Amino acid sequence: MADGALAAQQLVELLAVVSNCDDEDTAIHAAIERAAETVEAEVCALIVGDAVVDAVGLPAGSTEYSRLAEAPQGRGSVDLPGAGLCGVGWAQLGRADEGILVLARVGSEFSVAEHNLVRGMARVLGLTLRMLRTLEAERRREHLMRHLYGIQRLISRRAPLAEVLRATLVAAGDVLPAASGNVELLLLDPESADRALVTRSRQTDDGPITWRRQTMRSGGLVATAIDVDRPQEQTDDRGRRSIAVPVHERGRTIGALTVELSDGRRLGDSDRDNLLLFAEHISIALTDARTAQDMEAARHDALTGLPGRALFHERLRHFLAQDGDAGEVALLYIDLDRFKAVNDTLGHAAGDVLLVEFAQRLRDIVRRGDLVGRLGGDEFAVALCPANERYAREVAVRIIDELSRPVVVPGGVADVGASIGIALNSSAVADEFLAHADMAMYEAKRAGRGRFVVADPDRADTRVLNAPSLTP
Amino acid sequence: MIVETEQATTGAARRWMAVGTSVSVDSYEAGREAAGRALDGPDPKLLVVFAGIEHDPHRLAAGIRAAAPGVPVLGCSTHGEINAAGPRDGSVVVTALGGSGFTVSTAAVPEISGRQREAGAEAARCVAEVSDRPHRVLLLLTDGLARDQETVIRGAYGVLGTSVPLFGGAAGDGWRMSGTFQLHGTDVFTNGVVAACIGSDAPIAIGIDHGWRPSGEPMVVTQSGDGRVHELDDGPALDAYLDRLDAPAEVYRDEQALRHYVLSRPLGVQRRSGIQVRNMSTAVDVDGRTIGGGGDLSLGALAFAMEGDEESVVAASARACRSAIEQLAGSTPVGLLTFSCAACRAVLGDEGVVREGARIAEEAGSIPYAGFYTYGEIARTRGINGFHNQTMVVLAFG
Repeated sequence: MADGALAAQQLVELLAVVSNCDDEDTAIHAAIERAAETVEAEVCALIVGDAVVDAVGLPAGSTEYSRLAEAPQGRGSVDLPGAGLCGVGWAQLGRADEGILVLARVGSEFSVAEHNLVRGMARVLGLTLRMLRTLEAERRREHLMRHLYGIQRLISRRAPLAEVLRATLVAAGDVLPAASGNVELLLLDPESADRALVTRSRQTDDGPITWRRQTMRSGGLVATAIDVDRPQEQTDDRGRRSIAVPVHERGRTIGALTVELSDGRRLGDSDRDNLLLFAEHISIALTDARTAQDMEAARHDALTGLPGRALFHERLRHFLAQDGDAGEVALLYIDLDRFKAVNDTLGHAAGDVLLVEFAQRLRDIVRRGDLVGRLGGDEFAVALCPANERYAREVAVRIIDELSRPVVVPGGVADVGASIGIALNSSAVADEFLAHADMAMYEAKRAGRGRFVVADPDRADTRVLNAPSLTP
Repeated sequence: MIVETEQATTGAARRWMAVGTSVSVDSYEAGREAAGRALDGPDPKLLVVFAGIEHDPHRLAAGIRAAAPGVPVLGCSTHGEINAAGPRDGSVVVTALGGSGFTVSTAAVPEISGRQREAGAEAARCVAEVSDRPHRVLLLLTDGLARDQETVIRGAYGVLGTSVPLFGGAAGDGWRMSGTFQLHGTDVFTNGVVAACIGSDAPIAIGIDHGWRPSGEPMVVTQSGDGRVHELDDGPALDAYLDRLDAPAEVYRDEQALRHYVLSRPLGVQRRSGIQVRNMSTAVDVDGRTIGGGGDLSLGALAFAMEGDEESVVAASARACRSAIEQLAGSTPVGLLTFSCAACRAVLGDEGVVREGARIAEEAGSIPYAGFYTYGEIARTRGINGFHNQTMVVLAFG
């Protein structure tokens, strides 16, 4: 069989074998074995720089492979320990940084024609690897974009913060090829003076995000990243590389995203950029969550923690909408009796303690799904659903009893009471409903305080016009 | 007399090989008898057992242990046993290696399917315990019904490297194609690999030869996949192949006839230093028109239809023996292992194998030898390939 024809056929075979492979590592291994088979060599290796990427024929970790590449002009012979005198052939895959293919054959040198074949095989391998790398980069880019779209959708939909953080950690672990599975988010504990951290464990599980507290080592990787507000890298004494990227909430550095790399891996430039991107998404999610939290807090009364007027109003509207025509909503408007006197005689601090105590007593009386709110000053409201008149009356009696019990406050004992107005399904409109309950409360006050009055639906209309506006 | 004995002790007794056989149908008795007969020297180091599939491997192993307690045992089932008394079915042939000039370390790896490369590597690791000898060989016996045997050898090569040759065979089961067995001590495996690394003071040689020659021009593999060739020269592979041989009409469609026909007409693959032979008969594909030939037949490979007959096969067996013996450059080997192919046996027929046996005996002369008809031969001396079909492989211990 003519040498030239056989060589051409063998290059086609190598190309077929290598291009059938889905990833670089498999392609390289297949190529090395096929190249050795083709020239009946015992030893074959792919060397890139100083590293033997893959090889067959010499004991694992052998340093002899690089000697094979020293033969000048790509051809020669070398005395290999354990094998004897070997013919050697090598050739570059393409550019210098793509590496060289080396082959060694016991007892027989490579002819010029065979060396040409080695050159051809090296070129085929180089071209195929380049193609596989491009495909791989494309695939990874698409993968990254899909993850980012998912995270951005969660943020814009105001998904719970825990869900956004989990999605980001999972994405980071998935997209960064070098991550050994250790992607963590560390956030400073706002309540801790010694800067203990609350951390997230492995992101690979499907379960919800979990937190555990740990102490941050001062001067350590994470502490430094937070202090200087810049990404930091370090290698521990076991040779493992870690990177920490700071994350922010409203511009303040409150923690770091950390990645621990698998043994010997490094983070490429695009990987670094991706990591910064993930940290940025976490910062956006944290800031967003904080803003939402603040907004929510503003709608609560700072002193008692109960929903303020606006929030109570909103929730009452919600109750009514849910109730529909069932007619099972009862509203109690509560005004404290003689509260001003307590403020005047014992001071505002005492008044505050009283309000906090009464707020808690109200919470304790109502059922889980019912509403309690502080409408202002010494006015409270309770919405019960489902409730009928009898139940509303029972609750009113209990509230009056409870709020009649004295409260120990700074400076003495406060002894106050409550007047309650009850409205029952008098309107499907929250404003009107509140107005009816309010008017009933006034009646209770005029009738002597420490009692409740149930609004008369028939008289509701005329009264509404004279009552002060209740809408916020 | 005394002088002779002393010489015998210091010279040949450093390394010896002996063969014992038994035709007893009782597996325990057969093992005990054959092993007893093989123990013909001091300090036995290894027993290699070839047994017909009819035997109960557990009882067989127990019988061998009774005769040779504490001696490492390696063995497998066959499609016929080879020894100086002539080829036989259903017998037990035990080869013993012994003497201070040998070091042996053994290994057994179960469940190789799906992890062939790893299994080969695992089996080869026993080589580390035989580093005290200048000459080594790894003897491998595999389950002949496992796929991708070449990958097992690659795995072993990855551990052994260039300096340790490979020799062995794939266990048979009397052509039943239902299950073979491998032995390691008293452990019995199926779907396993058993190995012995044999180190020796004297050189070890391997001869490899086959009696097949190409018929007509080569064909190019134009489509392949999943271990089979789908197209040759852009047409259905099976038809292209049969056309090349001018096969009779009934062979094209009848599975039985086809299987019989291709047994003596294997596939050849062009390699650097010759044509590699591949068995086509174990999985014929009448419907799909594909042909088998080993997993690595890729696009662009040059394939031949090969032919041969009793004369060419027997001549090749003789050449393989001669080659192994001659490589030891004048010194007489202490023994030979002769592994032939079950498919060749089908070609030779019952009378042909007797004639083959006689030719091997002729080449061996007074050198003890034993072997079996395998479902694939293992021999790696050059390059990284080591699995053969329809080939004779011979190992000679110096």
